[in-house]
Amino acid sequence: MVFSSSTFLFAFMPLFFAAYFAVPGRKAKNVLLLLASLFFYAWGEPVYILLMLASIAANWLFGLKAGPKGASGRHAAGAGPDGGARKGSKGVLLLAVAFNVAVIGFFKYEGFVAGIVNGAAGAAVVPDLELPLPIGISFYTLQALSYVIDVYRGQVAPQRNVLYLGMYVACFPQLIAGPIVRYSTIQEQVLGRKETLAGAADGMRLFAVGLAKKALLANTCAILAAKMVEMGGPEIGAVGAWAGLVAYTFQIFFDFSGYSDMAIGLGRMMGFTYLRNFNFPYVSRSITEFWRRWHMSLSTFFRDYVYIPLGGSRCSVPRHVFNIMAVWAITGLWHGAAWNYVGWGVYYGVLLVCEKYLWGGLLKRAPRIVGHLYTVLVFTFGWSFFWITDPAQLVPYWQAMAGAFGATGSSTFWELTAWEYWPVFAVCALASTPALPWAKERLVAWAEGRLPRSVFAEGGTANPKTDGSESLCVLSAECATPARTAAFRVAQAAWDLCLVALLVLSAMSIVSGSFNPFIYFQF
Amino acid sequence: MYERIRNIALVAVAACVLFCVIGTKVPEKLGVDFPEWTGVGLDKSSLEGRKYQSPPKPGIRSALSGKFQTRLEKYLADHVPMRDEVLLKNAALQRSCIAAANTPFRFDSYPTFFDSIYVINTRGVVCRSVRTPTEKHSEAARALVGAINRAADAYPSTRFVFDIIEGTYSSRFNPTAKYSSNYLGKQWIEENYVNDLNDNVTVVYDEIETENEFFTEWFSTDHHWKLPRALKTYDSIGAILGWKKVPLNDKFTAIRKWHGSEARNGLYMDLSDSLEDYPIDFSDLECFINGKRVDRGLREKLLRNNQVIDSIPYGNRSYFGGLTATVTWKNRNKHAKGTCLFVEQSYGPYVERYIASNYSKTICLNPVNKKVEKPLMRAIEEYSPDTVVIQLNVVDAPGLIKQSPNFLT
Repeated sequence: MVFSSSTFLFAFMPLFFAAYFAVPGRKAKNVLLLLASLFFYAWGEPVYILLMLASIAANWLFGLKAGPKGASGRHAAGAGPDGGARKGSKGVLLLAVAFNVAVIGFFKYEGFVAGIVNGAAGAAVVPDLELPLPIGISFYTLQALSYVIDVYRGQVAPQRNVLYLGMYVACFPQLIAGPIVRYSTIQEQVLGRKETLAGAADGMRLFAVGLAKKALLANTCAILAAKMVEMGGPEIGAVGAWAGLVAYTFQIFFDFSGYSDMAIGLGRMMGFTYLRNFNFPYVSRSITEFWRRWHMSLSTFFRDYVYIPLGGSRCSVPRHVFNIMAVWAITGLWHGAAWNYVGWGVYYGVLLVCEKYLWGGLLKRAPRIVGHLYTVLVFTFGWSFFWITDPAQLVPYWQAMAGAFGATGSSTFWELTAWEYWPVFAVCALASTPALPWAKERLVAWAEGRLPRSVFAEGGTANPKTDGSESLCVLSAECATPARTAAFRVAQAAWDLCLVALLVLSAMSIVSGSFNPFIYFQF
Repeated sequence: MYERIRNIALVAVAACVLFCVIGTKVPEKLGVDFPEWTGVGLDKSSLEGRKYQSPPKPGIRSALSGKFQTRLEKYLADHVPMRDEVLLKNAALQRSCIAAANTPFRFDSYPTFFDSIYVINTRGVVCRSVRTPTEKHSEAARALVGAINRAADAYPSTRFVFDIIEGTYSSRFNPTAKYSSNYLGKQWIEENYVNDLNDNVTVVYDEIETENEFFTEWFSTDHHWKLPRALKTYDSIGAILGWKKVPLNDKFTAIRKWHGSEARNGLYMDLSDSLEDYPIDFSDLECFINGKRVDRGLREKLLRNNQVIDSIPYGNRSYFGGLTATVTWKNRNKHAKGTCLFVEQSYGPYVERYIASNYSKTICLNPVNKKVEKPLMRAIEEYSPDTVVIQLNVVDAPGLIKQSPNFLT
């Protein structure tokens, strides 16, 4: 089940929230959330739900045993008697890491490894089981692993109630596509959160924005992207190839960030506050900055659990380079079990090293537009081999981008259909920037009678490490005068009307995806 | 207080949107009647020409296979209130975006929505884009030509006429033809059909000869021909086979408004067509389907009652008759002799009566209908026709094979 489906929008979501708000008591709500999340997962994976249940049970046990022991002999989080962090059982930690890596390694990478081994051996030494990939395994496994590691480090207390841990691991808002929520973020919220009208409304606002990003922008761009890759380089030429790549660049951003917004919005409706996952990455002026804005929950996961344990930057230059390359190879591999993903990760690893040791200073001193253009070209090109996994298709596509097949290949400009999308691209380009937060900040500043703050800095006006994304959708201010209060209220009502319109248009778009006229001749 | 009201209003409206299916389906099942414009309670769509998904039955096997989930998804999407309006409005929004995109380019045709194969043209038609020939088209051509040649060779005393309808899909006057790098048009049809048919098959290449013909003699919202154009084709075939000429007087409007398949499938209902007829008396003819004497479409009933229809979905099919597998016309006129086997598609019902008026018996076979299970050779053997007339738009030949795979064996 995906959020942008009729089943989720018109059945699961309304029924779940009706039950959630009707059920009294925190414990009952938590159990309902767990059951609903398991149902949500089983809807798409009726067999692999058992794997998830096994993962929950195993990580719960690991969590109970991995943490540092306190004076009472029970596991405790926090600092030890000497003020340093208390660490728990390393053996249990290693077992937990091995278990979780084995689970994701087997179900996601068995075929990939079999291909490598058999290719090297020249014979079918390892059988390729062709296992279907369990949905969300990359997310919930990392989430569970981060919990156990944080327990081991004494940063969080182990969750004694397996149902609550299950709720955290399986929580349907972030189950399939993240964000990767650290247990430390929601630890207090398991029992201490409060559902409020304001929270539900703000969550709904963010959900509407996320759904619009997915249904209206990402899905529209996906049409062109899919068509260009299907036609292939020789048929589309440079115009088609670049248009297709730009379409995919927007598609993946609005797809992913839209999903994150919906996940965070759904969580907010239940009283959870999750951290922001995307901070307008396409306005970055370096790749270093890009990766501080894109999929922040993933990059911070790899930073905290792989990069820093390897030594981070506090080591020799060769070791630092190795650390960066290792983290980025793993990051690439995490995205998919294929060499193009590894290549994509290595691509960014190399660029990050170069920015660190070669031209990073130059970028900082260059005009902003230069850094921005450089970053746009780099990440746009990078998406090409993230997107087209078959080298037999990728190479001609690159050739087309370079003009090897002329402007429009063997097609006419009209046939490409790329010309239809430039208004969509214009909207996408604007929506990729913090234009809306910029306008909002100016309005709020005016209402409050102060100078507006910059939204273009890396943190914007909010701290992405601590602030939820719903702050982007919430329009509130401490107005300076009654006249400004009245005007601001009109703006708030207009904003809400826009959000409702977005919700309705998104729902219409999703329903239209089921348009299926009886055409007996479709050739 | 204001914040509270604002939040309640937002949540309430959002809840209305999210509960729109459950909130209407449950009362409907409990017996509440909804006004027709809401679309609640309908079990089929005239816009899409299909039945809506019925509520899927839950079951372990269907859940494990994913079929239950797929069917439920379809069921919920199908039962959104005002579903047709939702589809049309969504398409209209996309179309306005495309129209805006077209401003600097000024193409005279653009798609009716993103990824639509239908375009609207500045001359006021909605039509399907020309098609690129594929291997399936070549396979279908080989199969069709082979079957007709075999039949003609097996029955040398039977007259074979193959009317290849160029139609709006293949015409050089299709507004998208000039924008196409390679389309299935006259040259391709001649290379793959006309040139390969045996000499004992008379070929009529039914071409759209002028731009004016394209825009005035074919419907604006449908790929079919208007009756006057259909009768031009009848006259062309008739000149070969000695059919009676039809006096075309007193043309009248039988249906004032209908939306053709291009409008419906292209989700563009701003254009419509009227349907015209001639008050020709075919009372000597009797129509039989599955052994029963019936009215073929609404034509005869409307003429008897001197009625005109204001608006109806599927105007041409409803009026002249639809895609029935086998229709038999018997002519009570003693002067009519012989048997004709008429292999047709959806273009055929326009001229069935006219053809049938020339023969004692006319069997109309429509292999677009899956129920045509017998091969062409078997049909000829069964009906022993003196004349076989095959009238097809060959662009649709792959679909014909898919619907009735035995027909060309």
